[in-house]
Amino acid sequence: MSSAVRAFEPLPPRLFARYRSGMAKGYLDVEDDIAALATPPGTGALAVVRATGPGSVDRLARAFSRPDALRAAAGYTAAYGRMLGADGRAVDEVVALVFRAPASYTGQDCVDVMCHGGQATVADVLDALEVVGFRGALPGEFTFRAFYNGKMDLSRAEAVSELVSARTSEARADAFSRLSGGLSRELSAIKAMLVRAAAAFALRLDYGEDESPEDIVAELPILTKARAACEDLADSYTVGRVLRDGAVVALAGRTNAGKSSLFNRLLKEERAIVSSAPGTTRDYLEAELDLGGLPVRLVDTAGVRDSVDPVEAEGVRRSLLVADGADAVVYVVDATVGLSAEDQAFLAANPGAVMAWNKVDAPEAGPVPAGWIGVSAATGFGESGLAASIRSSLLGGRESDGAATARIGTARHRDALIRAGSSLGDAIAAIESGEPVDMAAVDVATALEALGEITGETTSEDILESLFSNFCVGK
Amino acid sequence: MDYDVIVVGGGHAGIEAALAAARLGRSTLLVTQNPDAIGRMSCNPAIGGLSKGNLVREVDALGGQMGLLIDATTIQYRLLNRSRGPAVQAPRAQADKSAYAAAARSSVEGQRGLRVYMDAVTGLVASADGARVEGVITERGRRIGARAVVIASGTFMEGRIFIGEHRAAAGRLGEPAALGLGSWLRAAGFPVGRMKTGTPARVKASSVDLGALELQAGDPDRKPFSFLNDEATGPELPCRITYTNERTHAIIRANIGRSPLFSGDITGKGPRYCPSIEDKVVKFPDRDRHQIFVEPEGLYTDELYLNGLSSSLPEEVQDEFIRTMPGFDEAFMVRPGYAVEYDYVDPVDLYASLESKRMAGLYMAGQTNGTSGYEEAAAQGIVAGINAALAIAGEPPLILSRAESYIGVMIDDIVTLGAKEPYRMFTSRAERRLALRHDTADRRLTPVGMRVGLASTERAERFGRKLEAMDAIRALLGARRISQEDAARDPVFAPHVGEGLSRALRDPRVAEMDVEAIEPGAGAYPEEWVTGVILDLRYEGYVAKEGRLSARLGKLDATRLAADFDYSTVPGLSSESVEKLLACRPLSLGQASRIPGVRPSDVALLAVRIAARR
Repeated sequence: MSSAVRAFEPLPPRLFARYRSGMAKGYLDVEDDIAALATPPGTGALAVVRATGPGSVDRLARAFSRPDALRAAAGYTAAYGRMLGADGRAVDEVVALVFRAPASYTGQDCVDVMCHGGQATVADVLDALEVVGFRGALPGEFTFRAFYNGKMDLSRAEAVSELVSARTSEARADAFSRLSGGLSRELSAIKAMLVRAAAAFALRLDYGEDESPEDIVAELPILTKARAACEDLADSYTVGRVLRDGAVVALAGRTNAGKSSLFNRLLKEERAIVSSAPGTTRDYLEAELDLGGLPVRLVDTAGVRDSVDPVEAEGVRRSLLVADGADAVVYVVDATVGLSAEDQAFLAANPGAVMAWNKVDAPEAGPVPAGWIGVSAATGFGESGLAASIRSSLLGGRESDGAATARIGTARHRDALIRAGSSLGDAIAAIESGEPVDMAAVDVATALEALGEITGETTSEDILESLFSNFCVGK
Repeated sequence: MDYDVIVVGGGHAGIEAALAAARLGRSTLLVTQNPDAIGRMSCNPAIGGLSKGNLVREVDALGGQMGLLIDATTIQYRLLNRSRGPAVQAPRAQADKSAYAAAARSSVEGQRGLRVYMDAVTGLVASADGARVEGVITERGRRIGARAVVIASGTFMEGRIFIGEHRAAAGRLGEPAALGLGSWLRAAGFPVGRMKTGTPARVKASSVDLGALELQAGDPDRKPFSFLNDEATGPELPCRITYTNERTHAIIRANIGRSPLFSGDITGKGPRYCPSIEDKVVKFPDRDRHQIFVEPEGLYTDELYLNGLSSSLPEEVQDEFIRTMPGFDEAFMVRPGYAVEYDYVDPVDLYASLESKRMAGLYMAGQTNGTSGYEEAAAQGIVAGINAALAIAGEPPLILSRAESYIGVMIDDIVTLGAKEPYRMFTSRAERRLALRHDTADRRLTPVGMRVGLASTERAERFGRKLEAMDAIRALLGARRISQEDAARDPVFAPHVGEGLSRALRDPRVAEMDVEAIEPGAGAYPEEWVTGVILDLRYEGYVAKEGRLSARLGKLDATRLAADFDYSTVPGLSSESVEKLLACRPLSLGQASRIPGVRPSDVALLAVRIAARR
């Protein structure tokens, strides 16, 4: 079972950042009591430290000012008290919410410790837990235990790991639709097609030429359709990935084209960028924003210009690299200056770029050329049109309506779908080159096997079931 | 003990089980209700067919009888699916039914260490704790002791026949059911269920206008099933084809309520792949005709078998609809078609050795296990017979894998999935079907037969000669270089100049040519051996692809599970999975993964648990 092995792959580490090192412990040490920060690191009113394991309640009680109250707590009840550090002094006032096995996320006893936000406080609480013998959780270890204890199956476990790392509400909705079966419905439709195709092959494998249709060529349409469906869903990975990991959008253009003001306009902030990357204004700046539901990292690159200034030349080189690595590029031109040879060269090299005709409201601005979007960083004119173009550039025309269209979110699913599609392509090629039906059948079986890595195995009984319900066979 | 092994039933499973046990040196008694009925073919007069032909050749390769029996009594031979690929080609032969049964009886009676005894088994003798079988109890009150018992009762265990409103306690029309054993097994807690199958009417050949039917001739070049035979000869009778029509269907529809299948009188589950004509008419109302194969039952009988017309409608209705078919206006029905319902024991109760999980020394084979078909029965019979003998000798059982044989696929299927309808072998069930070609059966299984001790000296010697010859053929084809002259003679060779012929044969256009015309040296060897080498070479790539596809299967199958593993102690396994796993007690993770209702994530969980334990 390949999926069993995959359960060991680290899930996204965002929640489980602390205590990565230490004892050479593995996921299979499921009797260990483990703990980790469960809310994003940084400053907030509250932070939650999650602890789980068969002895987690007792162990936590040893660092708690009211140990008996905690030990006696039933599932779904809270105990108020103070976390005590190594020297016995209180490090924070906390509320400990107790879950009892098996009615918990992990299936084991579980305590969510709500402490005050702030990195120092959280560090103190985690230190206090370490003193009483908690081990820092490995990435995804809580979810692994949930899987191990039968609280969720593998595809739900994957979706959960994405849900917790999802950055915007649309991304959360996407991960959530998988949990609630949106993806599995789409996959079932593809599986049904593949099973139907496999049944058409089985018909010719299982019945003689005097009893079953001869021409396997007749099955080409369903194979073609199934292949297209696999490829489409595999392509949706880009969208799924953008939703989960966020997209990099680069603002490019010549110096003084207005990139920085457009950058600020899109961020809806007039002040200087807080999280600016190290470097000078001639290097590049970046910030995160929510672009109509898409998590986007916007990068303002230095101007594209062959410069003799070594610092600026380095900035230009880097910004071209950023544009290369970006999921979308917005190329900004000053409408009052017009297109230069440098602009033409950049656009020829980046044909998919979103083209912004900036300062369009200036009296001396030239008319908006075809394919360009007229914008004004100063007034905000054209901003929504620009945002829409960036979205559609990122989604590759798969405009998200925000509703229930399922998308795959993991590379594992994408890989399986690509292999399925490619095996179907082999089957089609085998049939077209006149290879016998039993050879192409191997390719169809390979496709079904690949899909089975996501949907669960297809048995020969499933195929025969489809055969018997679709064809009149048997003497 | 009176005997080492007692085999209950003289059908296709019982014959192989009894012969295998006796040939392995075990004193064996075959108990049958009627020695005259040994080897009778209850239904169609043919052996082999797709995947079934592979089973016959596998039984033969191990040292069984079925291939020899059909080779001696063939009246028509066809290699099915000649126009398709090698994995789906299989031999089928029409048999002279009475000659086949006579040959079977003679082989059983001529076997040293094997006795035939006429009585009906009504119960088993078990040890005091019920954990071991110690013999059988018969209808006439005899207790016969044995160290192992093989039940191969076919359709006779509590058999009941249905023809319209007519009912009879019979296993075959006119032959009384075996009453008692089914009830004994039920009372002892075995999971006994009911299954149903059916057979069509037989009509008098001289009452049919055979000239009005399509002719279906046999292949001129007949090939033997048995690897012990060099050639196949014998008399030749043709089969014919006709069709039902709208009139036939109208009569069936008008009388559908009188079919015990539709009136609810039959509770046993019938085979979907071999539906009765009334099933087909109801299920596929858009079809305006169904194909019927008209097959002779033998050389010295005037009866014809109407393949595709199985029915349990009242006799007069069968009579009426048969006469709607072209050429059958005046047809006289000798025997009506009928449905038969019988007891079977859910094979999930067996280990892959076919030994019972609840009673040591007890084996079951054939329709008793819910399968259907002569070939399926024979294949289980030989495995049950071998394993009964091995167990007595204190040796581990023979368990053939899914990767090496159709037999392994079938047994793994039934002991893992159980049988919810009569189980039939299908090519599509075998993951490694490209490797399981019928002509490779000896290369796969004769070494096994030799190791077990069932393959005769003659078979072993022939096999050794064949392997040497195939090596020589491979060398011959590798040494023959495609030259410019070849290309000049035939442009097909142009892309292959300089290559060995063995490589050029991967090109389908080269493979289709007569190999002897290219390399006359090939003419020195039997055609099947040369063809075998060519097929190996030609489809090497696909066989490898198929191997990769089932590699995961192999890995899971290699992870052993203890028969007494307590799944209820594994937290997180769904309760349905625990129940299924405890019921099946799989011997490998692979088998566990194939149990219906056991979810992939549960298998993943088990894999993790096993890894954690190490």
